[in-house]
Amino acid sequence: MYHQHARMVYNLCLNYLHGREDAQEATQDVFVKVHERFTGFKGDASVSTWIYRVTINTCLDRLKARKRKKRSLLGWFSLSDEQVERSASLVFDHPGVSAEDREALERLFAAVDELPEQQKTALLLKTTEDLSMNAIAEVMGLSTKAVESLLSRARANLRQRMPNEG
Amino acid sequence: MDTNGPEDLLKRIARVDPPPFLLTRIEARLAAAVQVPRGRSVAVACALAALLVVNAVVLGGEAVGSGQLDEVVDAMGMNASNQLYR
Repeated sequence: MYHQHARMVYNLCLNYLHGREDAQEATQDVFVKVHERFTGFKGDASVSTWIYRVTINTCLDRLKARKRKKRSLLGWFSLSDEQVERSASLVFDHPGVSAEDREALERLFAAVDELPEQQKTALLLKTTEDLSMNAIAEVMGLSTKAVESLLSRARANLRQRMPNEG
Repeated sequence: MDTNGPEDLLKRIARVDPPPFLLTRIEARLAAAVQVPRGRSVAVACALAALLVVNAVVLGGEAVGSGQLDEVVDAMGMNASNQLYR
């Protein structure tokens, strides 16, 4: 199972967390969870859909923990949520990003990180994973209409946050 | 701004292979997380419960015993106090 899904898990972790070490740790967490929970897997979705879900939840949990840690450290300086969010994603170490795209993608990921979780997930699954609307809907447990709506809101939010990009 | 600009940029991210040591680390973590057999955890819980029961019985017995001891001390006119001068 590792050999079949490790590449997908590691790359999705990189796109959520933007750091090599963080992504490696998250990938380990995902496969440990998959190993522990496989007996409880009901088979109501395909294995890859299930692994996508475990990966997304693991990454979102890590991001929340990272934000909590930053918040407790920076709480003394009474920063806004947006400022904490930005400072929580400072380290950018993505091996899949070329040198010429690095600066633009760093800015783009900073904006993507500020999107609500579901919008962010829909956008990453559509763009970096190149999943179909149906596949995204299955992974997220939503209807395709809901996914389309999430994507259009994500695009509008990105346009608003990065008016001079593109 | 081109609507697909950010999305095209995200699509340009290359897929990379996970480092080869990752599988070894996962296997090490799985080996470290040794599962405690269910029977053993039940046995430990029973032992703790038995220990609590024994404690309660001993303490209860002591309370009764100390009452009887006081009676003996009174009957024999002994001084059970640690005070030297009373």
